Amino acid sequence: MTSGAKRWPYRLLIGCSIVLSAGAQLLMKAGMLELGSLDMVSVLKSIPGSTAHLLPVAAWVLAGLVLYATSMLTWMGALAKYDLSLAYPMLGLSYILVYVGAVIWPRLHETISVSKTVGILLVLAGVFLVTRSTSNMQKS
Amino acid sequence: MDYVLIVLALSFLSLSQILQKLAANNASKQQSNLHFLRRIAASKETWWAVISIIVGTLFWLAVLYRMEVSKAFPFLSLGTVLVLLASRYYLRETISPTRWTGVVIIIIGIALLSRS
Repeated sequence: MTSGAKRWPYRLLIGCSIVLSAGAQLLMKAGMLELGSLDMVSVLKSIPGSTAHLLPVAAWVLAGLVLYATSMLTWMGALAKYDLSLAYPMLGLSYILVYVGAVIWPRLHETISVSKTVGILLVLAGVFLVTRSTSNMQKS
Repeated sequence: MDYVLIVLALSFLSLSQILQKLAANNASKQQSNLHFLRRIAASKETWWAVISIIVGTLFWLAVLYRMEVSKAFPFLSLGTVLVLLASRYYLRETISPTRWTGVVIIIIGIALLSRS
């Protein structure tokens, strides 16, 4: 059996991965909001000449993708020792971070509601059950 | 159209998860971190995982363009169910009754969220 202390580096990797993937979602959504605010017809007409309007979109999406890629790398590090069926449901925590972030960040200003909050608490309970159920490390 | 895009994004992102796990499994017998990374980079599964995550992400960006992120994200977690089924039936990982219960509660939570 692996000692509890040895699990911490993997828990830390999963934690980093969750925070990074939530950040990635928020940044990509910000990029898509920039895209949505553009007049697409005039953007397409101007494409051989100037693509300057698309710079904010590209910047947000690229920042999101960098976080996404970093999250994928830390995730793979964690998967080397965790069962996929155990590690993956922990990503549910990132949906909570995305919800809170989308509400708090004025650029996105999405709404809070009772059913959303109750749903998130249920997700948390489910995630807790999934993560505490069995021994986390593969025996090798 | 929104739901077609969501299903496509979900499928490719979940497929990428499975491929990443296969790549990590194959490399996990390596002693040093350097050897581990080398095996990961040389693995065919890794590159299919990368292609799959790129395609899935493009579909996901299309979803984010059309929907609020707080409306869209509950659907993304249905990928958890896909990956769990795949890890049960394809990777042959065992899933305890407690885990199944947790997954059912997650799904109920997601259903509530998506109705909000």
